[in-house]
Amino acid sequence: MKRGTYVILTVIVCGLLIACGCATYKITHELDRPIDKTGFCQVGEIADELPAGFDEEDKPTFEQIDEFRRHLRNALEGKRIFSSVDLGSVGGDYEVTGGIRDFKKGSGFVRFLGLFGAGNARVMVALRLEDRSTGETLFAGNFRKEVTSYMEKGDIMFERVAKDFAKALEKAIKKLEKKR
Amino acid sequence: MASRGREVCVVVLVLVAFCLAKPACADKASRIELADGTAYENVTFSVDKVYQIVTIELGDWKQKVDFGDVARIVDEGGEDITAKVLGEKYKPVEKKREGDWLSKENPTYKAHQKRPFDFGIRAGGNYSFPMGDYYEDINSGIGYGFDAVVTVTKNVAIRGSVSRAGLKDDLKAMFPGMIILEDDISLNIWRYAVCGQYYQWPDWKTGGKMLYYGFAGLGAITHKMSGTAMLQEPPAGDMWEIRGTGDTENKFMLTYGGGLITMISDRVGVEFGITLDVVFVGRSDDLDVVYYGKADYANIFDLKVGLIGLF
Repeated sequence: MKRGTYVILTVIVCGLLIACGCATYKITHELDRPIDKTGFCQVGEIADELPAGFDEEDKPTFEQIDEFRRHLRNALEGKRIFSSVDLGSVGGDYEVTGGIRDFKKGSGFVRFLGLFGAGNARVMVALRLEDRSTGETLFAGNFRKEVTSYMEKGDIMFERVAKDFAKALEKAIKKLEKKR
Repeated sequence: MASRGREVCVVVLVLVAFCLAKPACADKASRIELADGTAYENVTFSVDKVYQIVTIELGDWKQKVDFGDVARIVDEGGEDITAKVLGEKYKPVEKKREGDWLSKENPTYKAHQKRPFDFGIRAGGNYSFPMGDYYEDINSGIGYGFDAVVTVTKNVAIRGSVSRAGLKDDLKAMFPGMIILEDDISLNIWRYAVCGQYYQWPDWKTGGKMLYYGFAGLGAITHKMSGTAMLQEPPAGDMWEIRGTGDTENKFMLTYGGGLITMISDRVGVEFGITLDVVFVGRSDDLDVVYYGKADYANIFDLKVGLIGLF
């Protein structure tokens, strides 16, 4: 084999390696039936599913959860998966709910000190899309994000989780359409 | 070159194979029951604690299940290992719970976010030990200092300090064999520093009295020798008058330290600490060696005790 071929092969493999390492969510319930694109989706409750004994003071605030729900709404609206998306838990054809499983507020100042990952903010959320008429879970996964840079606010991880969920749902819809 | 490229490729492929390979820690279960009533028997499973997912496998078939959907895992010996697999702190979600997040405006939340103190003021004494060529013929002594601490978070603060190192000249060492008739030389060494401080007050919410801290920072140290001394050659020879020039020598320094504070009341504590100042002499060659010695830096080590008010 020529030198150039080795280089290209190594770059491709490294890219795959990096891509595998960068996965920030895992799907636990694959989409197995199509979504009605004329349907109306609600972003419902994001519950407290943190481990037993988790300090109250270290949990996300009501304001952060509210902001997360807004990010979910915006991310799903951006993907145009449903005819409209709104906040609420009443009405609608579909509902997105979830639970916070892991959370660390982090500290931008400590991240600035650069003490080997100290101060990193992190969140892990279980999100699911349900059919309101049947109560059936259509799509679900666990989404995780971490903020390591002092230049970013810790809250940005909620926005990124919301975008990942919308992206994963869009990907699942396209995969299902291809199969059919 | 081609053979080196081949080697790199092989290494990378081995790494990829390692990462993508079936995890060696897959366990066998005689039964896995899910929350919806589905049960799987004689399967293997692996656990991802980061994403809280159990992957159930039987031959080529594989299913990922969220921790919340796992009701029970029984190992081959018939023992219920659910808590062991999912973790003791994991609490199964029996029903969808209402969000009960605290608002930032909630007094309970605000109380939880409160720092142990907003700022502190310290005054105390120190015993300084000089080390290095620069401080040759300078003796240790007692000084004093003041510190101000402003908290940034529950564990991080900014510390500013001003202190006088009570070091003294040793004329007998400087002028061996001479009779010291009068020694009115004074050595004024002042240190100014700004530091980042990490502190821990583990039990402040439950009335604990001990606070620990460590700090590191930058600063400046000024040296001024002034006054006069009278010396005489033994046994009754010529007399010499030594005058301190009164010039100030400023040096850059790094400072490190730590200590503990024992609270004697709600606001006042007794502090015990140590500090090491690394003074950058900044000497150049030739003449400097005569005055500063050969080392590029010198040290001052302090033992400190004082009172601190935390507000």
